Order: sequence, then structure tokens, then C-alpha cells
Amino acid sequence: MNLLSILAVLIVGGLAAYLLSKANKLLGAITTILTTVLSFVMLFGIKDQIGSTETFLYFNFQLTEIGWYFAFVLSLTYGMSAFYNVCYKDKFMYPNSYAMLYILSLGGSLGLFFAKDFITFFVFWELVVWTSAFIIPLGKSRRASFIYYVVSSIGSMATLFAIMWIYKLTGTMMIKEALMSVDLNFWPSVILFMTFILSGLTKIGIFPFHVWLPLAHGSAPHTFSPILSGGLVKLGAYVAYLSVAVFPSYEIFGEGWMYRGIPLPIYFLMVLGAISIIIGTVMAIKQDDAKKLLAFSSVANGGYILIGILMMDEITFAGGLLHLFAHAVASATAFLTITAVAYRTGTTKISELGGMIHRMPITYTVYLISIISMAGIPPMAGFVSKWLILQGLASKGLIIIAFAAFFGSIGSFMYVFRPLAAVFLGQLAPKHENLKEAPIMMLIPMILMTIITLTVGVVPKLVLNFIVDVQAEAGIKVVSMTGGALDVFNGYLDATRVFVIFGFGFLIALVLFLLMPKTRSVSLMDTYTSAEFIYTPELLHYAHDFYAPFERLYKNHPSTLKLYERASLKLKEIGLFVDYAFMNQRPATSIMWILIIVTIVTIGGAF
Amino acid sequence: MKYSVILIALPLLLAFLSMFIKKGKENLLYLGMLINVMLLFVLEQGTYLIGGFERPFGITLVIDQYSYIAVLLVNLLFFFSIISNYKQIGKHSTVLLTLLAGVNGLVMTGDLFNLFVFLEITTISAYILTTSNKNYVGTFNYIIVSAVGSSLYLLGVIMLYAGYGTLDFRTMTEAISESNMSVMLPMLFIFAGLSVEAKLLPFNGWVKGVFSKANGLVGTMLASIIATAMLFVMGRMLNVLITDSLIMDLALTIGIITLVLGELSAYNSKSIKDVLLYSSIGQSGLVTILMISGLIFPAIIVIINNGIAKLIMFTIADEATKEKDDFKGFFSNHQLMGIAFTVASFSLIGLPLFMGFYAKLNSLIGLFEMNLLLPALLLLVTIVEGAYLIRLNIKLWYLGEEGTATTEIEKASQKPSLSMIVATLVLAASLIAVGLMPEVLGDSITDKSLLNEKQIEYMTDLKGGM
Amino acid sequence: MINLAAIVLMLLGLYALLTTKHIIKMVVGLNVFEVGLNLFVITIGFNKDGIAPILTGSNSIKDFVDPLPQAIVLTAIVIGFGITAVALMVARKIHEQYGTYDINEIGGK
Repeated sequence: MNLLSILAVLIVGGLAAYLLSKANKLLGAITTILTTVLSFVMLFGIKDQIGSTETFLYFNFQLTEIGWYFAFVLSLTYGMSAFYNVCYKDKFMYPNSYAMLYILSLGGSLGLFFAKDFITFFVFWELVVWTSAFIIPLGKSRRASFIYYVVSSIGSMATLFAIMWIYKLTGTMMIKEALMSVDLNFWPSVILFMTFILSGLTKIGIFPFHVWLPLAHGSAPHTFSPILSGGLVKLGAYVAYLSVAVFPSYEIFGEGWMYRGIPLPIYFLMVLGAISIIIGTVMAIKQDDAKKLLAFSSVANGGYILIGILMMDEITFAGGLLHLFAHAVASATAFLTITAVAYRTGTTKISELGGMIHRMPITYTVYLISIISMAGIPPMAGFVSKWLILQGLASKGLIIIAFAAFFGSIGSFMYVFRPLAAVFLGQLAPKHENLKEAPIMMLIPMILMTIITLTVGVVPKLVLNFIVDVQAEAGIKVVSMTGGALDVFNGYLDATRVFVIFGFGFLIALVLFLLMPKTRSVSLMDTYTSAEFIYTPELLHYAHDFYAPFERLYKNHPSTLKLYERASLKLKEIGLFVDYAFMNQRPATSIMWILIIVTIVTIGGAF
Repeated sequence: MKYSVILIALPLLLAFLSMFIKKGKENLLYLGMLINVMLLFVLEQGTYLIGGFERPFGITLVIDQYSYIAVLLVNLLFFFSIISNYKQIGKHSTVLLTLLAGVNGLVMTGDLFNLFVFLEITTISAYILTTSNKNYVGTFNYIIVSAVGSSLYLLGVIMLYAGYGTLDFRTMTEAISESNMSVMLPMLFIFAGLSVEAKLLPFNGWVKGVFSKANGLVGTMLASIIATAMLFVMGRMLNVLITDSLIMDLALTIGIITLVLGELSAYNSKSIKDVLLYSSIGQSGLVTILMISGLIFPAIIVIINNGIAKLIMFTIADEATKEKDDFKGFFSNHQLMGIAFTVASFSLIGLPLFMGFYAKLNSLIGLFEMNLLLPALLLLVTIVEGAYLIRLNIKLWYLGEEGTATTEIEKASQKPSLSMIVATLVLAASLIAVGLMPEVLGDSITDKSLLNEKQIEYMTDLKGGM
Repeated sequence: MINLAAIVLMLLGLYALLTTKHIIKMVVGLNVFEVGLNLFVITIGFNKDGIAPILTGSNSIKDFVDPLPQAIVLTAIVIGFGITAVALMVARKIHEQYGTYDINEIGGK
């Protein structure tokens, strides 16, 4: 079993899924599940082959620690989300292509993680882009896919520019050798660095390239949003890793200006990450659609991951990579729960839902645990990763970024609480009286992911072992762990002990709850208004305009999306001008232009 | 080598004969086309002296590596175009045969005036073909502007003849490089004259009128076959004949302007054919930039890619807009055509795994040798290209209003012909095949001088003529 | 001298193309332009004190005017004739479609 066999499984599986879907949709959906889960399992089989290389046609692959880690995260996400295909198979316009493109995008992602030379990397990167660009329109919006493609294309072309430039400078396409042997002055190196990492930035969704995330994640088909949010944005993190770990940016920029030990170009990117955290958090708080809310939370968490990876030290880097894993799991799970709710109720708008806990208790528990992880509250995995990042930022003294990170943490509690309170808690709307719990096919992945979040939160060593290998490969100091506890500069974190303490707290609260008198429930629409008739009781429902006082603070915010639209309009105007000036049906216009050019050149040549 | 003459003479003869036949003219067309394709297998490279007259006096047909590729491409594209659009031939068989002869002559001839003659044959056939659009004002515009352009070209050639006394291409280039007379003016006229037909801004006012209502046959003939031949001719001119630095700068500037403005206009357009015609303009600009920089091999791949892709796309675009103007969700019923169209668009953008990526890659490697701005420009333009082509594809594949998901598919009302589907799929497959195994293209070029884009000496082989 | 006349004819033809509204006049302008061009081509071959380029036993080649431009011009005249024929046919079709020859009324787009 080797690298090529995993990719072969995926490609064959993709085509098989397409053909089997044509015959029987259920069979196709099951093939999807089997293929993705099989690839996840096979990854563990090849873990010991780190360092081996394979070649196929003109593609070169090499198994690296970092590639393995990323592949592990992605195939887990894909595998778990694939279970939902069984229930959603009838809701697409092109169900056969959905299965095939789904698997092919996983194949593309794995291929690029293991790419040894730039051409392979770029081929698979673009494969992922266009397969996902064709899945997104199967959902609610066509425009979302267009914007996704354009923003992604800006990044890809910038990276292609950087790759070609590197090829011209070094003469080789192999990623490791080429990046290490780049030799330029300061400012050209900055340009090279910025263009190279641009595709990563656009993929993660860092400000100002975050515009596509809410549109795409919010309107994609429900079963693909977890992949977009938990999987595909991590591709950008891989590019970020390449830009700082393989490309010796700290050494190259080390002679320039530094801020507390971090070169200025890298610090600039971290500031962008910090801005993304703030923007993502703040925009998420005001969303009414649960999927758009989670999409903005992906923007915020992408900022955390970027900051973590860019720091390249023992604590923050480990935190960044762990957050990659934790956020992938948590975000995917949150999307999966919202999808389950949408499957049963048909809507994702928060103000129309309520009281789901009465009908879907397991879904509620899963959602609760995932948002605890996303907000960074112990004892979940998200707490460990955020704690590591904050520790690292504080120990280095990066005040502004640490402030943004703290703000993001607090704000994230606000926005994850909104769907919890509005969708699950509260009272059940009359039209949802007859709902059932999510189907078993959906419950399996949700429960599995929850168990994973909980386990890694209690025993983070499980995933940190992989991260330690990555740090060793990248040449950074390894995060030190004594026993099960993580050592940082001002203390240590023993996650198991934290969990035990939380467990005690939970038990005490449970005992108190059972002993105290019960509550009395009233019907949702039974409001008291001094004998006035109410014609729109929905407006008085507490889930409507949940954070209104807070939202009023930034009601008139500028929008990056509008900036993009204005730029696009200006480009169209240039096209219109060409149409007007040259494409005329009178011969006189073209002949005039010919004479103008000939005359100008003749006179110019005479001098 | 003698077969090269038959490639031109036979279609001309058949065209003449077809005038006397009332019914069944298409059979002569098919006959000529098939014989031409079969002759391609026995064609060898070399020079053929027509009538036996020696070099500076007689007309020659030269098939070197460059024109060999051109001849192959032009005849094969013609073949595929006729198979896909045979229903639209109508009464045009005679004109199509002369067109075939004309484009073959364009790429093979080694004499400057002969080039003028073949240029006129080709464009007159094109005029008559475009009358089937029923947009007569556009055709008229095309006739006037193109006639003026060709006459400018003739003026330039005559001025060169007055200076050097020969019309033969190779002799002329040697004479120019040895003397130091200023030949800026004739080169300007030649460049301006050829640019009219090669669709460079600002000479291409006729393009929109002719293409926006073109049916499948006319669209592919003009945008794919004639465009390919003209680009090969233009490439020959730019590389070898035009040596005055002012004209070279002019060509580079016009190329850049055409590329940028063409792609932006395509971004602005709404109907499929408008998008495609502006994309053709943009690609002409790109080829001009590459040729003037001496990057012949990447330019050839771009021309091949453009030719194949435009053939597929024009054919299918005509199908899509036949019934009604709104083509939303057209591919939901015609999935095979959709796959061919999408493959062609991806190749045009330059996505990996398709031939276009190989073209872009080689162009970038070559352009990076010159300066950093040109590749950056090319990549920025690619973003715009990707934007409008993906937008087009999404509109063609997916139904449904913005903001809702949809699952229903309307029933198809027309069935396209089987040959069209087969032809477009075969061409699309070729795009993928070269994308996966690009060494096929690189190894087949035995004349290694074409690949060497850093040196100037290769020009001696390219000077062999047309 | 005749070169100048040829160039003037070409410029006249282009002027006509640039300024006229009537479609048939555009064809006429194109023709004038081509006549000028052909005239220019012939003057290239001029040889002072030259005689007609017909081979007989007694003539020396050095006295001939250049026959090549004459062949070129013959071809060019025929091509011009072909183009004029097609252009007039299209002009007739335009008239059938729109009822006028005035390009402003037909519409620039």
C-alpha cells in the first residue's frame, strides 16, 4: 500500500460513484462513503512510509509529515460528511456528478498535500478549485460559485507567478530544493513571498479575500458546506506552511525590520489574520442564517490558524496546527447539525426555528459540544488549541494580535450561542410539532465527531504526537509535553485534570437541577400585551434580531464585497468602451483607426 | 513534396467542377476534404518549386517544421468542422472548397505576392460564407475593411520589391538583413494589412458584426480555421520579416492592448458568441506578443489550443442558441455537448490537465526570460478569462433562480446530430490527452530549433518561407 | 511623377471611404483606392527608355520594363473585380432588407 494506491482508490472511486449513481442513487451514495472512509483508513497504513516518493506520468509525490497531517484532517472531514449523501441524494440537479466531484476534490486535496514538485501541486490545486466550483452551484446560488472562482483564481494566478519566477531563478521545479535556493534582494523577496502565499490567503479567506466564504459556504448544498468549511480552507493553511516553513522566510527577511522577533512582512500577514478574526466574529454575530454565521466563524478561525502557522515557534505553531484539526471537526460538526435541522424543517434561518431540543435532543447535544469547542471552552479540543495560540502570542509580546485573538474568543461565544438559544432552546413552533430526530445515517457521523472532539480535548496528546513529528520535520523546537501535560512558559496545561474538574462541576450542577423545583412552560406565542391584539407575533419572538443592541454599534459598516463589485463594474466599462469605439458597423471607423496608426508610426519613424 | 501542390490544386479543381453540378455538390466537398486529409499522411517536409523555376524567380511551396504543423492543423480542423456542421453547408460547397485551397496555400507558400493572392481567395470565400448570417451590413463592413487591409499589404510588398527586386520570402529576408536601408514603412504596411485579418485592435471593427450571429459552420470556419492560418502567417511575418525595431515595438504594444481589451470586452459580454469572438481577439493578441518575443513553440501550442477549443465552442454555442436566446441550463439536457464545451473552456483558460495549461506554462517560462511585467499581465488576464468562461459555463449547466435550489430539468426539444457530438468529443479528448501527456507535442517537433526560445539563430530555419 | 498621381488616387479613395454615407459610393471609393494602388505598382516597374518586355531574338533584356509588376497588377485587377462584385451583391441585399442605401439610417450597430 502506498501513496499512489490511495489516489488510485479515490479516482477509481469517483468514476465508480458516477456510474453507480446513474444506475441506483443509493449505491452511488454508499460508494462515496466507502471510498472516503477507506482513504482515511489507508492513511494510517502508510504512516510509516514517511519520506518515500512516487511518480506517475509527470507527477511526483513525496510523503511528508505535514502532508500526512493535513491529509488526515481532510479525509476525516470528507469521510464523516459523506454519510449525509445517503439522505440528500435526491435533492441535487446532478446527483451523479455530485458524488464524482465530491470524491475527486478529496483526491485533488490529497494529491497536492503530497506533491513533490510545483507542477503536481498546481495541477491538483486547480483540480480542487474547479471540482468545488461546480458543486457549489448545486445549492442556492450561482453567483456564489462565480465569486468563489474569481477570488480563488486571483490567488492561484499569483502563486503561479511566484512558482514560475522561482523556476526562472533556480531552474528546478522540486518544491523543497527550489524554495531553499531562492536568492534575491529584500524587496523582490517580499514580492515573491506575498504572491506565493496569496493563494493560501484567498483559500483560507483572510481579509480582504474573505468575501467568497459567506456566499459559498452559506449557499452551497447542505452536504458540501462542512467540506468547504472544515476541509478546503485548510488547503490555504498548507500553502502558508510552505511559505514559512519550507521557504526560509524568517532567514530571508531576518535582516530587515523586525517587530519583537518577527520580520515585518510576516507580521503584516499576521495583522491581516487578526483583522479577519475581528471581522469574522463581528459579522457572524449579526447573521440570521445559521450557515452564513458558521461561514463567518470560519473566516475568524482561519485567522487563528494563519497566525499560528506563521509564528513558527514551538507553542503557537502547535496551537495553529491543532486548531486546524479542532476547527475542522467542530465546524464540520456544526454544519452537519444545521444540515440535520434543515433536512427536517427545510430552513436554516434562525428566526424561523426554535425549540429543536424537544424533538432532536441528540442533535442538540452534538451541536452544544461542537460550539463549546469552537468557542474555546474546556474541556474540548478547541480550548487546547486556542489556549496554546494565546499563550504563544502573550509570551512573545504581540499585544495587538493577542487582543484580536482574545476578542475573537469572547465574540465567538456570542455568535455560537445565538443558534443554540434560538434554534435549539426556547419553544417549539407549532408547525414543527411533528418533527422526528435526524435519521440514523446522519446521527452516526455526528456522534463520531463529537466523541473525537471530546477525546482530543481530554487527551490532546493523541493529535499532538502527529504535530510533534511535523515540527521536527520543519526544524522548529518541539512543544514539550511531560506526561499528558503541555509545558509553556508560564505554567502547564494538564487537559485530563481540567476535564476531571469540569466533570465534577457538571455533576454538581446536575444534582442541583434535579433537586430544585421544575419550571413551568408557556406556549411560544402566548405573550402579554395589555389586551392589544398581536398580528405579527414572530417579531416579538426573542430569536428575532437576537443581538440588536450590539449590532446597532456597527450597523453602517463598509463592505468588502461592494468593493469587488465596483472593481468588476469598472472593468466592464472598459469593455463597453472598446465596443463603442472600435466595433462599429461603419467601415469608416476601422479605416480611420488604420490611418491613425499608420500616420502616427510613419511620423514617429521619421524622427 | 509533390503532394503539397495537390493539397491546393485539388480543392480548386473540385470547386470549379462543382459549379456545373446542380445537385450533390457536397459530395465533391467531402471528396476534396477526405483526399486532403489522406494526403496529410504522406506529406513530407521540403521545398517545392512550382514550374521548376529556381529560387529568386519562381514561386515555392515550403513545408518546414512550422508550416507542416500548420498544414496538419488547418486540414484536420476543416475536416472536423465540416463533419460537425454538415447540415449547414447548404449551397456553400463551392466556396468551402476554395476556402480549403486558400488556407492551405496561405500556410505553405514561400512567395510574398502569392500570399496576397491566397489571402484574397480566403477572404473572398469568407465574405460569401458570412452572407448566410443575414447580417449584410456586417458583411459589407467586413468586405470594405478587409479589402483595404489587403491592399495595404500589397503596397508594402511592392515597396519591398522596389527595394530588393525579389518576391521570394527567403531571399528577401537575407537581402534585408544584409543591407541597411530603412524598411520601416513597408513593414508597417505589411503588419497593418495582416492585422486587419488577424483581428488585432484597433483594426478589427468588423469582428463583432460578422461573428455575433454566425452559425456553427461560418463561426468555426472564420474563428478556427482562418484564424489559425492567419496567426501562423502573422507569426512568420513577425519573426522573420519584420526586423525594424519601431515596428516590433508597435507589434508588441498592439498585442498587449489587444489581449487586455479583448478579454475585458469578453468579460462585459452577455451572449455566448460575443464572449467567444472577444476571446478570439484576445488570443490573437497573445499570439502576437509571443511571436514578436521569439517564443515560437509556446505560440504554436496556443494557436492549436485556440483552434480546437474555438471549433468546439462555436459549434456548441450555435446549438445552444438555435431555439431561443436564453441559454440557461442548456446543458442539463445535452450533457455530452456540455462536457465537450466545458473541456474546451478549461483548456482556453489554461487549467491544468488540459492542453491550454501546457501552452500557458511554456508561455510563462518564455516570457519570464524577458521581464517580469509581461507574465504578470498574462496571469492577470487569465483571471478575467477564467471569470467569464466559468460564469458562462455555470449559466449553461445550472437552472434555477438566484437564491433557490432547483432539481427539475426541462425536457429537450431538439436533438443535435450524432456527428457533431462525436466530433466535438474527439477534439475535447485530444485536449485532455495532450494535457496529460504533453511530451507528445514536444517530442514530435524534430526541428529542435523551434524549441529554443532564448536564441536568435533559429530564425535561419524559420526563414524557409511560407 | 505618376507615382504621385497614384498616391493621390489612393488618398482620394480613402477619403471617400471615410466620409461617404452611401453604400455604393463606398464601393466606388474602394475601387478608386485599388486603381491608385495598381497604378503605383506599375510605376515601380518603370524603366526609363524601356521597351515592352516581349522576347524576340534581337532585343536585349536590359532594355525591358519590368514585367513582374505587370503580372502582379493583372492579378490585382481581377481580385479587385471579384471583391467589387461581392460587395455590390451584398449592397443589393442591404437595400432589399432596409430599403435604403444610407448607412446612417441602417444603423451603425
